[in-house]
Amino acid sequence: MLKGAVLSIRKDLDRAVCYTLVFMLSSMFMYLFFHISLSETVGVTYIYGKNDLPTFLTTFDVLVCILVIFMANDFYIKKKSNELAVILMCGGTYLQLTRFLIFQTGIFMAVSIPLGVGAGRLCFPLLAAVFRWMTGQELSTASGSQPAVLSASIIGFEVFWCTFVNLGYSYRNSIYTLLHGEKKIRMQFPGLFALKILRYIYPGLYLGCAALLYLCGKEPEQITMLGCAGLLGLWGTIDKVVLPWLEKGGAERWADDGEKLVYMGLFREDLKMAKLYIILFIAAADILCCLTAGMVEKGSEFALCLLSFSSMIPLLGISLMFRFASEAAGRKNQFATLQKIGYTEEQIKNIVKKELLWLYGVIMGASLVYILNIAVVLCIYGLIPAAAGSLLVAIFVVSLTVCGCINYRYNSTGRPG
Amino acid sequence: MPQSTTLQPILETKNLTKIYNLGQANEFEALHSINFTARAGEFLCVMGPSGSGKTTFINNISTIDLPTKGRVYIDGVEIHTMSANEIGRFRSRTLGFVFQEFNLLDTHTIYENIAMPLALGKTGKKEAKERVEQMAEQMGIQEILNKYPGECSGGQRQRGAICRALIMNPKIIIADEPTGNLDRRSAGEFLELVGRLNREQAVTVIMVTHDPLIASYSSRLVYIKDGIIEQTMEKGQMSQKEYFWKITEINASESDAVFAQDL
Repeated sequence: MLKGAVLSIRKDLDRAVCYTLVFMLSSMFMYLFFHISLSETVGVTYIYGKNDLPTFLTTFDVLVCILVIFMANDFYIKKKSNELAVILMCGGTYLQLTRFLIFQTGIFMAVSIPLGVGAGRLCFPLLAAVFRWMTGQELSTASGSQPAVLSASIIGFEVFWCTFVNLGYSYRNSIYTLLHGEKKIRMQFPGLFALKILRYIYPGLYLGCAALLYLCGKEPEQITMLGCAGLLGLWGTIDKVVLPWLEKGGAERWADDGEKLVYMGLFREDLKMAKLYIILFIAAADILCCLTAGMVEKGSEFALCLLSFSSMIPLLGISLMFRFASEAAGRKNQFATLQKIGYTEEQIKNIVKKELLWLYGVIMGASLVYILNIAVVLCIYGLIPAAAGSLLVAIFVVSLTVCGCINYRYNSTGRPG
Repeated sequence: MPQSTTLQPILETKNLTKIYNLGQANEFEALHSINFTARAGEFLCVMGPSGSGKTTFINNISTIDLPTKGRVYIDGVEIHTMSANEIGRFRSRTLGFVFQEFNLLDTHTIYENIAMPLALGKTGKKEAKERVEQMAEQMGIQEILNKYPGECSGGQRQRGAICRALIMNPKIIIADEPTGNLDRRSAGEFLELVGRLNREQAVTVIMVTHDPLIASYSSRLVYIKDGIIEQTMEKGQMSQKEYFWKITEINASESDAVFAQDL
């Protein structure tokens, strides 16, 4: 089984590397934030049981890391469903499947956790230097074994949960489903919800809440609430308005433009995958921006909020980047098919470029409607200085742009020759 | 159809050789210096045992793969002299591909897949819609045009792929086991459609198949074995039934050789 697990990873090395890197980065950030929250000079919050900002920030950041790992795991296992089906078809029992999955998850963890913790240890002095520069305070290393124990507990929980979820996935699906993938079922809501006009409530909710930020955004709590309502609007807008619009009549709309027909179809698929990331971007930015508000006077808390923002947003960006890169790695056959139809190398290059421009453009645009407006509102009401607001927006824009550029470079080299 | 001897060559190979893993320990010569001519308007069937080089041959004569040695001419143009972009445009205008594995884009609906070559050729939206719907009607897949390939059966997907291959009215149809995933009725419909294009519009068809019945629709059989063309057979004046039995005999001789060894 161990040999099988290793072979399975080697066979799909691109995806395995992406998966390992997501694990590694999440482990690194978890380790760093446990260190911060347990640092004697900053919080020591767990030791004395305080429920203050560092505690909340650490919990929030660890939750984001766990979520990122679960999303990567979910994607990875769905791409591996074929192999699970073959094991079951060959007469493998669920016990053997469990062992296979534990070995595989174990291999990823054995590689990524030491690397993540090692990278965290290497990055800590840098983080401490940034913290010192921002606040003039020392960010001392947490004493004792608590950070390691907490990190190990969370990571252990991840290992258990990922294996459990993976096993559950193969258990509840038939061999046929595992082999052929889950069929897309288009949800039809009965009665009132099927009314087409109600779809347009979602964009109204999404844009309306963004506009209301300016009226009701005096308190960070109100901004958070409006952000949450806006997320519901955004989810519905993508699901009920944008995707159906792209699906219905897309072919007829772009039937005279060979490149557009292909890249808009690819973008449509990307958007289905990216909508969760857009929601997470906005949710994380919303919560972190609001936490930052009102902390300007408290130097260390303010610095922690900024550090948290500048690590969680890039982590989400990197996670999206790996997910997209992993998805694109399986596109070689599609590009080969396009070549058979008559698409030239140049046209395929343009398709890759435009698909990425649309994907990252929409993610950035949809997220900025909230991130930018929240930053502006906080600045208008004097809750954060203009420089801090600009910094928050810049961190988001730069992170996403860098991830987009890396994706483009990876995709360009991944095309069939 | 006019007699094949009077037709102009549309596809020629000269000493076509394909070597895999050249210079490596596991070097393997799949095709050995093949000279071959397909004439415009011919319906050619390529047969041979598994691993004989049929797919390699068809890939190399249709710009999908490049020969290690030798030359391939399509419509008088040597493929090797074309740039990548020229080959792309050439494929779009001249060749239509149908494969057993469908090769449809899973991210696009059946309609979008069929419309792709038209969009590439900058056909107007209205005309494209009419042609896609007409072609879909011919193949009986109007009701799945807005579905994704993953939502369709194997037969429906193959018909979608066939529609895409035929939508540009190509001069040459290259088909590798196109009926492999179709039921008898759908396979018959496909052959009827391809046969009609071949008879009425002089479209050249080059098709790999294992099925002697399907091969009996062709005008010439090319039998490949161990990387060489072992024999060819013109249908000529034979009835389809006689031609079918001749094809069956050629295929059976392979099995006879195996049984003779056992004895």
